Amino acid sequence: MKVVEEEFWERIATGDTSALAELYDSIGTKLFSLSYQILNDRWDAEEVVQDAFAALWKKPQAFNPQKGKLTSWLMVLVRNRSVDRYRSRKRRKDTASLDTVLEVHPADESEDIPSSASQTDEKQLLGSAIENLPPKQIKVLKLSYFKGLTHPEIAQELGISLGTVKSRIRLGVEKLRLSLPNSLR
Amino acid sequence: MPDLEQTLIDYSLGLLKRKDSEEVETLIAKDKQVAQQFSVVQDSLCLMGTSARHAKPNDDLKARVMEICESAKPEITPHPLELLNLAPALPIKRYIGGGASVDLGDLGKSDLKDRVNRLYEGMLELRDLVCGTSAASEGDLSELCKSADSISVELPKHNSVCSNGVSSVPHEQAIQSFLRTQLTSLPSMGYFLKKIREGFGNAGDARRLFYLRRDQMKIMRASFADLDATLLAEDEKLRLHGAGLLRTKWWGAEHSYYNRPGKVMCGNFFEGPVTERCVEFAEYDSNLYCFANLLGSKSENGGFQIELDNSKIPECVLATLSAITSSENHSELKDIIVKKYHRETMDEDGYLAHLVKSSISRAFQLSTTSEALNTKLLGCERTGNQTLLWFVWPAILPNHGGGEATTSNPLQ
Repeated sequence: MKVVEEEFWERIATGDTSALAELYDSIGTKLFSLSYQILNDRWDAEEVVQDAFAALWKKPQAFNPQKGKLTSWLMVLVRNRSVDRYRSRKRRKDTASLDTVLEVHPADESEDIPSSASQTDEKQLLGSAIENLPPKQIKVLKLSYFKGLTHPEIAQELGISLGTVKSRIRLGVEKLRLSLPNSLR
Repeated sequence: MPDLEQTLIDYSLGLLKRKDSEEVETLIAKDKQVAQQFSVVQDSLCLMGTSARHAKPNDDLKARVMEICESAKPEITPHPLELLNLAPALPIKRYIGGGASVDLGDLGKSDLKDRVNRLYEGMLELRDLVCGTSAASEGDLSELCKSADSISVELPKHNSVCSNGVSSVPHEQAIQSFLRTQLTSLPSMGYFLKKIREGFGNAGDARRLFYLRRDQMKIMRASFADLDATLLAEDEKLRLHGAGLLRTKWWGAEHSYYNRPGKVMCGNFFEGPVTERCVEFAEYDSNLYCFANLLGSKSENGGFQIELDNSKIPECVLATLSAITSSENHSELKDIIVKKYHRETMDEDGYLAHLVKSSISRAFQLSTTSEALNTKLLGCERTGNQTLLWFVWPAILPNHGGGEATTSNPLQ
């Protein structure tokens, strides 16, 4: 997979627009879903995704294949930009409640049917990865990942110590890591 | 190495301070093992991201992404040489908008005050119907269609604005404030509302209405201080607005001055802040709308291209709008831009140019609007078969102290 992604990136770096179109087809919806979960606003989420692709196109060297996969990099980029925007909105007192973002969302009935076996595998892998996490770790990870709360903010929100927040995040990430295929660990 | 892993997690989540982020980046760059560990952390966090509830973007998002890539060719329009030699004198204190604001009472006894109030209320009604959480944003326009007829948005008719009680307003600045609320984003909004009302709209039109409505309200608040004092207080807070905001909004957009739709392309856009506060952004936006309306209505196909550059003129941002025009239309545009202000004879096109001249005069603290034109801080020139409209705005310098806080995100 990493090799395929590197090919995408190399083609994008040479100005191949079809590579960008293919990349959008493979990950656009995931990036949008992530941003939409954080922002709960369709226009904002579309802007973030649009800007992320524009950033990659304009400055492909911002991604370094030595440091990981292109899709992981894009997910982090979109997550961080969405969190920035969410915080900016929050400062303007224009945000949804914590509960809206943290509630458990059942699979959408209109969800696209996975178009390939690898997508099905990925969903199963992901499902078990998250399910295997203790609820306390999931909660802390979600507050950090989807809400962009800092460690002290999470500690205050949940009434736990800073050290507990850090260790729950670290252990959570470690468990997610163990669910990755061996080739990626 | 739990400490290193924790640091890499914090770095990926944008929780580190800039200095610490830089240290991590150095470590990743020089130590392959750390780079490998960082890669694993990112992949693990990517799993979290993939757990987000599935949501399908609107179909036109891909088209917009591709348009960005296909049109991101720098400087399609060559700039006239005289423009490249500009070195305007900058005011000691940077202009941060708000200088065009009057009170509604300054409109005198005319019914214009009621029109402004009604229009603002209409914008408030429209807000929930086109926002990013609306049914329209998901492509279901039934509610928007149903409500579009009853929303009290009084849309101006072409060439009727200036003849409708405006000349009786005693306060010169109030005339400009009123016309800013009528001639900038509103005509294009009328075009999209009409489309929706006639049942031809789609989610992309709802998105365009969302931007136009937002801009319209900001422009209205920046024009009349007592229209919505609470939100104006928010608009006046220090908050940097980047060129990216304008690029995202205009890129691939359909724009229409009354019923003359055309496609907007974005060329070179620098990365960085353009304005310091919403009120300044509203004024900057208003200038762009004025020129977009002028040029769009005279371009060959209604379309035009926008570029924002901060490297050509020292300590200034240069906004250029260009389009293919006939020589007749170019001459007409040039006449409109250089035309002297006469309140009694000024038509809508003349006012579109005059609003920009006034704004530039405020930004550079010039004593007259004609000085802005004479010093080339705005203008109209022909290059090949294209007309180029431009205006210059004082830049925000890199050592600017305030602004929008962001996460210490190492990846942006």
